[in-house]
Amino acid sequence: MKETFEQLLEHNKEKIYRICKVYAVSPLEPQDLFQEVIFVIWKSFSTFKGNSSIDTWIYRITLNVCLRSKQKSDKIYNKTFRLESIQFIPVEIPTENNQQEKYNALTSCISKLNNKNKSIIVLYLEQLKYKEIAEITGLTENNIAVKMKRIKKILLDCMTKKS
Amino acid sequence: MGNNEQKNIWEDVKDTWSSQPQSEKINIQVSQLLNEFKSKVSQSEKDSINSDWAILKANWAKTKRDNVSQFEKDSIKKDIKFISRFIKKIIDRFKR
Repeated sequence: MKETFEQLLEHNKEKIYRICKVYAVSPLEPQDLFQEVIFVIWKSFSTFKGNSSIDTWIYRITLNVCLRSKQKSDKIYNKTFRLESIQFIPVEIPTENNQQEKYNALTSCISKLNNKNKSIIVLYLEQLKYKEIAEITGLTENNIAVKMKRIKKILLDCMTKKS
Repeated sequence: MGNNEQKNIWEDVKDTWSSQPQSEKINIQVSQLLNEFKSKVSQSEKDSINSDWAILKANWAKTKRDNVSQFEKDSIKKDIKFISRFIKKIIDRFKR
């Protein structure tokens, strides 16, 4: 079980952290959300029945934890602690980085969307098919297609203004 | 904007998302992590039990208070009065 869990973390940690970064709003740090997600995955790991793919399951947990965190008060998060076993080692990014600018513009525009739309676009950017996004969000595939059209327009307008 | 142009833009956006510059490298010590989780669970279980116990105590006290009807209260009062009077009579007899 330990080995499977370890492989699962290794395989998914980057994508979990990408999502946490979108949802973390001060005073909550992406690192806090990340460890919370990992904790919930560990607690629920034995109950995973394989009804959906492991990726779908991971995305669902990550989004649920991230969305739930918004409803929790600052008081609750003051109680959270940092796990010593998870370390975030800073990596230097070149200051003149066009990719970083584009990424900042994208995340800034995503942060203006409502929670549901935010989940949909994040899953779309993670290269998931509409069918999989529907399975995770509980919406129908058609609904996702309609929403995606609107979200894409909002995001493009926002990013064009920024560039 | 044409369909192809749209498609290219979104491929570029997806690329921006997936190749976002990593500002941090995540290092996880799984064995240590599992121990930390276990201790976290036992602490949260303790907190949860304490909280359940407090709720139970409060509810039980409330239930006890609410379950005694006014009729019962009056009846008990009447009984106590009767017993007190009876004891007083006995004591008076002994005094004579």
